[in-house]
This record gives sequence, C-alpha cells and structure tokens, in this order.
Amino acid sequence: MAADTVTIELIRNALISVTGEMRTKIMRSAFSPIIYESLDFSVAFFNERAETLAQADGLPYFLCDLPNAVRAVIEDVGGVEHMRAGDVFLVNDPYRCSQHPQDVSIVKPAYYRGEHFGFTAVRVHLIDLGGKAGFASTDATEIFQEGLVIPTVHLHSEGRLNEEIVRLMAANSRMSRSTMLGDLQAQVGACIVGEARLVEVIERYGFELYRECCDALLVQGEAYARAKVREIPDGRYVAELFLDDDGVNRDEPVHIKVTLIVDESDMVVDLTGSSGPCAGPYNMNPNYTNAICRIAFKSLTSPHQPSNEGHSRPVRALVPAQSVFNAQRPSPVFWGFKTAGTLVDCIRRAATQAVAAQPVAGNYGWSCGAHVFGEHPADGSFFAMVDEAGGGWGARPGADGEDAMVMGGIRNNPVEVSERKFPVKVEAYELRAGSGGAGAFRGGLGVRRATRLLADVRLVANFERSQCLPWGLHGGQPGQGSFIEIHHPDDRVERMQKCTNHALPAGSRVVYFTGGGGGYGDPRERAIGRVMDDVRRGYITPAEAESAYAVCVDQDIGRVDEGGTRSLRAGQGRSDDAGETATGGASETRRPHARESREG
Amino acid sequence: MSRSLAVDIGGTFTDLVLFDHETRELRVAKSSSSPESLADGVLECLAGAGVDLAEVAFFVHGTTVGLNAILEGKGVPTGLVTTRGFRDVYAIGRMDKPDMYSYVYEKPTPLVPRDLVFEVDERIDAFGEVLAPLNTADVESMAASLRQHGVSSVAVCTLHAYANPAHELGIQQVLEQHMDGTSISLSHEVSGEWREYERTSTVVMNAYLQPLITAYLEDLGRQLARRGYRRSLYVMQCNGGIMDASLAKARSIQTLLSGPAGGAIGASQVARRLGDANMISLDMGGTSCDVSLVIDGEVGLTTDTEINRLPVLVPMLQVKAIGAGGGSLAQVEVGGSLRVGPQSAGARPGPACYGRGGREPTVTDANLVLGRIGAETFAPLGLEVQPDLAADAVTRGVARPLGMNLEEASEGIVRLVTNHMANAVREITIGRGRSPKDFSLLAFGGAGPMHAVGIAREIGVSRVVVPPAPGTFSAWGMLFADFRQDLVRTVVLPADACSLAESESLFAELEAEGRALLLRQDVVEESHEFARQLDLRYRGQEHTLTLPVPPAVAASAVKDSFDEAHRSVYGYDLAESIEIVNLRLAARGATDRPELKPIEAAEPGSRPTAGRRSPVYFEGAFCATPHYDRADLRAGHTLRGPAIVTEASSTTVVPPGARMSVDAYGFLIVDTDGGAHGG
Repeated sequence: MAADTVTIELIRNALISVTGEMRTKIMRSAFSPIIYESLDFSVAFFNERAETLAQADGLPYFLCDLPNAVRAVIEDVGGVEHMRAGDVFLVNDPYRCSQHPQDVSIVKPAYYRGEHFGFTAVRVHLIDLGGKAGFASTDATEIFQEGLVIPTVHLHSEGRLNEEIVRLMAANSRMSRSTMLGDLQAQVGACIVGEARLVEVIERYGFELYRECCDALLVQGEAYARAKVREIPDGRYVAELFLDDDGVNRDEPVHIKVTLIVDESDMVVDLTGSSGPCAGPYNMNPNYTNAICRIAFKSLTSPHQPSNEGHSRPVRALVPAQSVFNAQRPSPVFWGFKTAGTLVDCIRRAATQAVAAQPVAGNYGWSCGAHVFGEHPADGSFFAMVDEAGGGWGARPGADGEDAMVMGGIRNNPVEVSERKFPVKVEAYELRAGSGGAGAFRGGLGVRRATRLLADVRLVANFERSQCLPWGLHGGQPGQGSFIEIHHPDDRVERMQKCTNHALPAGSRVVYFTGGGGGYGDPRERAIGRVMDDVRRGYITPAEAESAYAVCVDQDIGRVDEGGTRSLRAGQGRSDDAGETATGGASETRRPHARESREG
Repeated sequence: MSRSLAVDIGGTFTDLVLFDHETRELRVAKSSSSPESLADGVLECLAGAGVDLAEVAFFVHGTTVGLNAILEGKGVPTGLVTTRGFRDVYAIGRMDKPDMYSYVYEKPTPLVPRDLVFEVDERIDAFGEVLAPLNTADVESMAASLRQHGVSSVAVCTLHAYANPAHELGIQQVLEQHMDGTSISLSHEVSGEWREYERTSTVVMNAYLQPLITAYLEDLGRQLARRGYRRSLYVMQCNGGIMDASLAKARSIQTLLSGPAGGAIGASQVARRLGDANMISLDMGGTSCDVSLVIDGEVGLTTDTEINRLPVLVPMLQVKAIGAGGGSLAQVEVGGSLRVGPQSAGARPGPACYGRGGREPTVTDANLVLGRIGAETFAPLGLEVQPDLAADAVTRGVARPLGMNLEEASEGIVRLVTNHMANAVREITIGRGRSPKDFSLLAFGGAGPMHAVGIAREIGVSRVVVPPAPGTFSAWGMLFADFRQDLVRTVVLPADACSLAESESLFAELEAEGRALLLRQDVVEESHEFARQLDLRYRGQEHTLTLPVPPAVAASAVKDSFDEAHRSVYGYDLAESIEIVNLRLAARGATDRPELKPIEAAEPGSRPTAGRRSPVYFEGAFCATPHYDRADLRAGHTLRGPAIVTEASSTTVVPPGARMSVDAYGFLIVDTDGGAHGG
C-alpha cells in the first residue's frame, strides 16, 4: 500500500484517537483540581523532528507550545541518540518552552522495535512549584520569586521512576508529595499508554507506510493553511492594544502592536513597536510568542481542522530583541499568558481589517481570578483554591457576546465541591448585570462571585482590562472593567485589580466582578424587543434602557413606552460610527486602549 | 393474553416487536415516525402490524418525545427556584469553551430564561447542616410570580440538597399549596449527586419535559385502553430498565435515550445467550452510530452524559454516539484530504441515491456503487434508490478531485467510516481497561451488519453476530428489560471500617426507597434484587471508579479491589488511602422475558440456495458474489464470503475470507478470519 489519500486519513484518525485516549486517562486519574476540574492541561503526539502530528482537545495555549518542550528536551540531552526506550523527561524552562515554571511538560520518546519514531507529551499546570506566593505572584521581578526552574531531567530512566526528582520537586512545593506524585504519574501514565497505542497503529499499517502518511499529513495541513492565506489580500495590517499594567509599574500600560504582513501564502506577525521587557511578570519567551501567533493563525485559517504542524507552517513571529515578547532570564514571566491573550485579540483585530475574520468586540481579558491558599484548618495541609473567573465576550455582527466564558477548556469550580474541599463559603455567584457594553448587539456579561473565608488565608488576585476596557466596535460601547473587593472583618472595604500574598483573616469576604464584553454597533439600533428582553431578565435596568439604548420603559406595566421611545430614538442623531468609543459609560477618563490602521 | 409488545419510536422510524409466549413466534414491523403526533404514529404502527391489543399482556414503550422536545426547544415554560445568590448558576454553567481554536463560540441556550429563575432565602452547607432556615414567605410570594408568568412546571435546586433535602422538600410543600396542578421537580430526587450546575441542568430538563411526557403517556394510555389494552403501560428508561408509566410522569428525564438503551439491553441478552461474557454492541443507522459494551454480561452506567450540550446527571447506560452513519457525507478538503462525517445528509435530503436533491456523496451512495447494497433493501422503507445518482455524486465529490476511479473512491469512503467506528470502539474498550480482542461484536440497525466485519477486522475481533431482524433490534431488547431504579447518594467519607458501617444504614435507606418504588409498580417482593456499588477514589483524587460491593463488605477488601481496578484502568495504583464519594443502589424486579424459538434446521449437508449473483467490489476488484435471502437460511447453514445476506431494511456483508454460520435461533455468526482460529 502507498500513502494514498484514504490511508493518510486512516492514520490521521488513529493518531487523534490515541491522543484522545491519553487525555481521558490523565483527566480521570490526576489529583489536582486544576487538572481534573479546570482541565488545565494538554496532550499531543509528535514525529521524530518534534513536529505535532495530532493533539487532543485542550488548552491551545499549551498545545501550540508543546513542540518547544520537545525541542528543549532533544537539545538538552544532546539528540535523540542519547535517549532510551522507557525514558521519560520532565522540563519546565520558561525561557524556551512553557509560560511559567508551574507548566510542567512530560516528554516520552516513543520506539517501535527499538527504532525511535516520535514523542508523546503532556503538559499540566502543577498547582505549586514554590515561589513567593502559593499559585502565583503579580509583582515578581525575577524568576527566582516565581518557582523552581527545571531544565530537562530524567523522570524515568529506562522505565524506572527517578524518585530523587520527585523528592526535589516536592521539597520545593507547597503541595503534598503524594499529590505531586499522583499528578506526575497521571502524566507519565498517559504518555506510556499513548506510545503503546501508536505502536499498534504502526503494526497495523507497517512502519514505512505509517511514516509516509505522517509526512503527508503535514503536507496536507500546510497546503490547506496556505490556500487560506492566499485568500487574504497582500498588505500590512496594524492593530494596537494595551494591558492595564505589568503588575510592578502600575501606572504604565503594556503596549502591544501587531503588524500583520501578508505576502502571497505567508504571514508574518511583526511585533515591532510593542513595549520593551517589562519589570513585572508579563513577559513571554520568543518560542512561546511564536506558539501564540500560531494559535491566532489557526483560529483565522483552520479552526475546525484537526491540528498538525503543517497548519502553522505559513506563519512566523518577528520579535524585536528588546521586547515584552523576548523574555530573557531572569525576567519574571508568570502572567505572560495574559499578554498572550491580548496578542491573540490584537492579531484578530488586524486580520479583521483584511476582511480575513469577522469583527468581534473586546472580551473581559482572557483570564482573571482570585486564588486563595493556606493551611486547611481540618488537617493543616496546604490547599490552594484556584478560581479562574470567566467574563463577558465581545459582541459581533448579528449576535450578542457570550456571558461568563473562559478561553479554552478551563472550567470554574463548582460551589458544592469548593465548599467541601476548601475552608470557604460561597455567598453569591451570579451574572454581573449591566456589565456588557451597549450596542446594536450587546457585549456578554461578566460575573460576580462573593466568597466568605472560613480560615486565615492569603490571596493572589489578578484582574485585567479595568483601565483599558473591553473595547466596543462600530459605535458599540466598551464593557465594564474587572475588579475585586475585599470586605475585611472590621468593615473596611478595599477595591483593587491585583494583589499578591494578601493576608486575610477568617471572616473576610472576597467579592470579584469580572468585565463585560464590548458592544457592536450603535445601541440605538438595537431591536427594541431585545432591549426589553434584557430589562425583563435583569441584564440592564430600565434607566440603562433609556440612557444607553433610547428605549423608554413604562415601569408600571413592564412594557415599552412606544411613543416615548420613538421620540427618543428620532430625537438623537446617529452616533458617528467611524471609530471606536474610547471611553466607558463611567465618567472617569480611561487610557487609550485600541487603535488600528492599514498601511500601504 | 400471552403476548409481549415493544414499540420504539426513533427519529425516522417507529419499530414494533410482538412476541407470543405460547407459540414463541416473533413478529416485527416498521413504519415512518410522525413527529407531529407521536402517539398517532404508535397507533398506526400497531394497526399496520395487525396487533390485537386485547391479546397483549405486557407493553413496553421507548419514546423520543422528550429528546425531540429538547432538540427543538419545545418543552413547557419552566421556572427554576434556587438558593439566594445563585440565580445564574444555570446560565453561567462551567464557563468552558470546548471548541478550542474558534475565536467565537456560542454556549448552549438554557432551557429556562433568567426572568423565570427565582431565589429563596435558605442555606445548607456541604455537610448537610442548615446555615439559614428556609424562608417560606419567600416561597409563597414566588408562587404568585410563577403563576403570573404562566409557568406550568417548576424545577427546584438548592445548594447541597444531595446532602440534606429538607429545604427542597419545604419548597415543594409551599408550592404545592399555592400552585395547584403545577408539576414540581426536586433536584435531589432526580439526581442525588453534587455539582450544582450539572444537577440544576438535570432537574430543569426533567421539569421542562414532565408535563409533556405526562400528557403524552396519558393520551397514549387512553388510546390503547380504547383499543382493548387492559394492562399497565411500561416505559423504557435510559438506565436499561423499565418503569410503570405512572412513575415516568415523575421521572421524565429517565425516558430520554430509551432507544439506545433498548439496544444495549438486547446486546447483554444476546451475550448471555451465546455465552460471550464481553460483547460490543454497534447500532448504526442513517445519521449516527451508538456503541456500548457488555462486560461480564452487563452494560455499565454513567452519569457523565450531555444532551444537546446540557449535562444530565442521572445514571444512564454507557452508550456512545458517533457521528457516522449511512448518511455521513464524504468531502474533499482544501489541501487534498478526504473526510467522512460527522456532517450527515440526514433523512432529508438523504443520500444522493434517494433522488431527493442530495448532491454530495454519502456512505450509502458508496455502498451502492460497490454493489454491497441493492435497491431491494430500501423497498420496505418506501424508497426507490437510483444507483446513477450515487455514482455521479461519488465521481463529482471525491473520485475526480482526488484522481481516483469511482470504485476506489467508494471503497475509500467505506473504509473511512469503518475506521471512525473502529477508533471509537477502540477508545471505549481501552478507556475501560479492556482490549477489543476480548470481545465479540453484535451489529444491528440498518447499516450495522453492512460494516460490522470491516470494523471487527480493524480492531482484532474475530466473531461478529447479527441478530434476526437487526432493523428492529432495539425494540426487541426492550422485551428483556427488568424493572429498574437507580438510587445515588453523595457522601464523601474515608473508606474505613467506621464509614462502611455508617454506609450500611444509608444503603438500608436506599433499599427501602427502592423497594417502595418497585412496590408502587406492583412488582412482587420475591423478585426484588438490590445491587450495591461504591464510587471510590484515592484521597486527593477527584474522579472515581465504580465498584460493586456486597453488603457488610470489609474495608480491606474494598481497598484491594479498588487498587486492582485502578491498575487495570490507569496502569498504576498508590499507597494512598481511599475515599467513598457516592453510594449507588440498583433496585430491580423481574419481568416475564420471551423464550426464543429455534428456527428450522437445515437438512444435513444441505447448502443455502443463493438468489442472484452480482459483482461486488472488495479490496480493489469486483468479484461475483451470491446474494441470500435471510428467510431462506436454516439453522446449521454455513457459507463463505464473499456473500451478501439481505432482509427487510438491513443487509449483512460477508467479505472474502470470512465464514458465516446460522445458529439454532437464527443468529448469523461470522468468523472474520474464516474460522482460522478453529471456531
């Protein structure tokens, strides 16, 4: 048999099936809630050149970066010829692969009858690997405050667990050794299972044919992606966005500038003009930057195609030497995935001008959360409640933004599970009414979650897009920004966006509000029926219906006052919809937050 | 008065199986479903098959009325009552965006809009302690609002109700006083498990369907009575058991996915009959393929199910639906790859060969080109197929763009769909810590027997079984279902001697509950059976493994069997102590099962007579292939592939190298490797 179209497809499906199985294994046997409940992990399979052949659904953040971990391993051991069957490697070097040390990659070379044919790899977020605070810090200035960095090590040597590594890691972590070991075993178990299944696939088709088909998969993927890029008019498309700040210099936004250069079937993401290295933990290493550009590229060109390395061959990032996108040791990196999210938004905006993508207004900021950790009063063990808080997504032509959503496969913590596991009582968990930016299509709503602490804890909070709000488009208003409130037992209330190691006594109440999405189009063109639905459902108040949407509500009967609405809507001219609305509904003046243009 | 009847309404067809306990004759019929009035469809099917209801002693019914309502958003206006502060738990969901590379994603639409969600003052903690009492005045005023909003069904889900249901019961009491005739569903009754979003979604779905299911079953019951049926109507449930229709009116959610459950129960019956402990059940129809596993004679349950992307936290038979069927579309992508499914041509327009306007090639079109199915298979379904249209579609859609000839392209399409199913089966078996080689494969549904041997060969299964009348097998399976109720309680306790002693009394409570439910359905106490299970995990882990346990089990035995199960499924075990998360109890009661009748035996040494012979394409070449009418086959007949066995609405393909025999009861048994293993 030759590598015909049908066999290629058979092998593609077999590989996807193998990674799916690896994913199920790890999900159901891991110990940390961040893995099994929040699904903060990813699984993929690579050929011997570290090119992705298949991946299971997971966090795109991780997936596109996993090849970098495989490359780092190959480099560190001095080539695959120094690997043995049964070896399992662990690496978390955040300057070559991974976002932060907590993202630990497990890489296992795979062999068929003694011959090396590729790698299975799994990355999970370990809940704690040392650092100045449990989970993470928002104000670290060096990697040494962020966690233990592990260059490539043998976690298994020829099938035997290297206990010393586990001991070393456990000694540098607030997690218990058994939890750490359980999570690592789950990863290794998945890699082993994956390898065994791949060997079966090879046996089914023969080694030669298998290899030819794998190569053909990459060729097909590349051909698909290049065809899509050719549909985009050649040119230079520019977009700019801002992060609120870098966690250390709190008054200075981090500037992201993307010039998308489309030339025939190639795309370059030129990051020249973005901020330089930042003092706080928002830096990204260049390999990771490239990986993020691939995510954005894939979402533009082939979001529903089973992913392989071929799909991202046409794109590359151009990273200046002095850049937030070129993290060098020992600069801090933990929250670089927020920079990454905004980079994806920025690439999307630039592509929108090229009519390569549907316009979508700004979202709440990709990742916000309030994470508490400390000693569990029941048994003195370390606990970390990682609470990833979703928010509102941007509106687009024809549709309101989604409420309360996170990017990727990450999920929230069920209240009933949190209260059983952690010393907390959740007092409210609801949509944040009024937070979605007004527009012909409204931005999605953020959430409000109030948690009473039943033990002394420390808090790490990180809320984004409170200065540079989720932008509206074509006359749509921005969404409301995120923040967190701390209600101390002495009735003092603090309001902030970021904090690290904030010691809070039992009885304190932590309440967070995540941002709403930006609106799309002139709010006065929103269908009156939709405005009334929003009023009835409590998404906006009657007063907001009138001020933002020019719809009068007769509150006595809960119906629209048609006469009043007609004169309101007729009385006001259409807003100038040429550009963005840079200020929110609130009276305070915000910083500039978004720009775009087309050059040449 | 000695007949058992099963009627299963599916998306496209309504299937009927009638069994006469005296003569042991089995009669089957198939008619088109009538989505506008499903009850009329049942009656038409009965009339068409000439069933005399006065003769029927037992009638079990599987219905798609609930599933249709969910898929089409046509349930009743439903209100939701929940703990103050948690109004939006249902809308927020788990916040994830499973479609990983899309920038835009639409979350599933909740079945209850936010203006129909009401909050009440009350609070219970994770251990079942009352932190704030139920404010009944709140509930009273809420009842007025609910009435005003025209709500005809109310779902109640308060936090930690699985640990202490007092407040849900209190809410029910007040609502019943103030909302006469409104249907009320309580989360702890529908699902005894934790996770508030999933439990809310479950109870809402139950409430959303309850008045519809009730009206449907009452209407059907009246119509049946008018036509002479004098016994109880029983309803097939997703857990593989049956329940009295009167109970279904309170547990409507359990009527969902009853068709696939019937197929899975039928498979466990066949497995037992043939002495195969492990069997893969494969039901392939027009748009999808349902796969389940019989392991040690049983089909396992899961609570990890979604319907239309909404979670359902009730025990259901583990049936995995795969987007692969006769209607699956074949497409050539930019970049030159060939994809089959999951998009489907559905019932309308259907495959190109139906001549109803479908232009893209489907799996059915490919099979027609290859000669594996003939026009006669479609005739009983009222379809006249046109082979030219099939050939045209494959040529235009696949062969020409890929530079292949028509037959190569068609065979490629069939291989790909076969491969999808093989991968799915492999994932399911291996996910349960089993190798597919240890299973036989039971194939049914219109398209199952056509692809079964191909699938079996890919996964190393050597024995394929095709039951009589594979097109109505799910209905047949329903005749073998027991009464069954599954009761669950979340506890979260260390699995030590002390907690196990405590769990004895909880199990006793569950048994009492189960016994009462069975007695309510007039199931005599002598036939009651109770089986206990524990959901266990290592302390610190989240997901659990479910293990059967005898009463008064020792802690050390629990630990040992858990370690072993963990090794088998995940490849390792740990020294860590273990925890009980849920207690599960299956309460069963026996029914009067059909006793199958042997078919006529073949004359010794005789061979089946082939009908026509036609060229059928296998592995790159046409070969002259005999076609057999299944009605002409006798017990003991054997034949070698290539061969095609046809019957109403289904075709069995026996490819070259395989050997088929007919067993005493008319089941076709195919040795995929021609009996080389000595079978």
